[in-house]
Amino acid sequence: MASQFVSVPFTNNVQEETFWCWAAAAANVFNSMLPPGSPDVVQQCDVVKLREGGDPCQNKDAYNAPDAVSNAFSDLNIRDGYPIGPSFQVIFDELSGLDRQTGETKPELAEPVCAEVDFGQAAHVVAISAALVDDQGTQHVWVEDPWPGAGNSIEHTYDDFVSNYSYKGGDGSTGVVSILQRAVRL
Amino acid sequence: MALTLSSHVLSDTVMTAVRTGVTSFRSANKDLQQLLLRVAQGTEGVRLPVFTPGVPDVLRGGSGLHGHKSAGWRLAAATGGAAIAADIHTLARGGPRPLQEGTPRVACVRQGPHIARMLQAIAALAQPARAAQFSATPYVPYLLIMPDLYTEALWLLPQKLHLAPPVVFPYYTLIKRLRVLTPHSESEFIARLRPTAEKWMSFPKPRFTGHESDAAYDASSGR
Repeated sequence: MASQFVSVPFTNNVQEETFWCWAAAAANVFNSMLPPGSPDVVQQCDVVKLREGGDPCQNKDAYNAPDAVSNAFSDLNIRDGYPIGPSFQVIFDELSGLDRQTGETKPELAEPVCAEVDFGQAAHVVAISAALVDDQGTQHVWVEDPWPGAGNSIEHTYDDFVSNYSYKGGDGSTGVVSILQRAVRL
Repeated sequence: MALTLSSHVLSDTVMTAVRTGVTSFRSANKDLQQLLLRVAQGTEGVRLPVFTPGVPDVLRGGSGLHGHKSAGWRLAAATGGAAIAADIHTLARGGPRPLQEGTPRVACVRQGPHIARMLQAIAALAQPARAAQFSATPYVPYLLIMPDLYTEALWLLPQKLHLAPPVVFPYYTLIKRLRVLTPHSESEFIARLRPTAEKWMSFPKPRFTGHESDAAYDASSGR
């Protein structure tokens, strides 16, 4: 079987505050979908401000709190549908630019996907910028984690990403990836 | 005299998992695959068992750093100014291709500055000037990966536990009150993480506004 690989350009800036993974992932997705040189780049504190108001750009500590990436996508007008359960097919379709109406793939529709990871008492948000089905049929995803941030490549088998990202999970009954959130370009 | 770190040896099943698993990763070309195999064999790089204590463990009354079984291994090496690692999971895996706990497989290949920082921390420990901060006894190195507490650290257990206390040596964190590349006692390390764990406990779990079913997605994509 021939391998299949899809990817989108992505810049993975590190999260600026401990609980801002959602804002970092949303800003990174938003900015990565802009045309090169666009003046519309958003900062993480801009995303927080859309959600919370106030002035998080001047006082980051006071606004250091978690939120759902779906809310941030809504505020940025890039949310495509509701959160959906983890699915490699969804990731592959989004990254390849599948037009769900026509079944065609269009490069201008290729978008990264965000995944919310449930660590029990804590949650984390990462983006996915590439996917591979190798010639053995094994599914892989490239995880853009705002915790380590820029310059890091993380190629994960999809099964272990969903079940045990960052060596978490454990009993195998439920995976750590709870939802995917699709994006849409402005 | 420099600090002495003992080296881990991988079991045959882990070796087999590395040999059969790394070839599947596009991020590792043939040279990097060979490098990861040499790391697994112990001729280059480092092999560290991974432990993942989290929020409940560092709360008051939690089980601390010793309450978990190993979740797998990280194999890592420097390569021409860069760094690469293979993460070997041994946790149970759910989903359509489930695996029992204890089944090793290469789950992830990582490259970049995050892995380089880990290798630099190990190199820093080997500097003779560091020796005064540790007991003369050899230490066994482990890896603490704590994504819910935004921290990764080397965890050094003395080969003979009664001869010296364990040491935690963080090399990456987003927690401002925790200093990287500085030895901490276990209790001091936990105390630095505890406010972040307590803050997690003060937040409600995220609640989503809706959840499209997989069937709805399939219907909308014509499958």
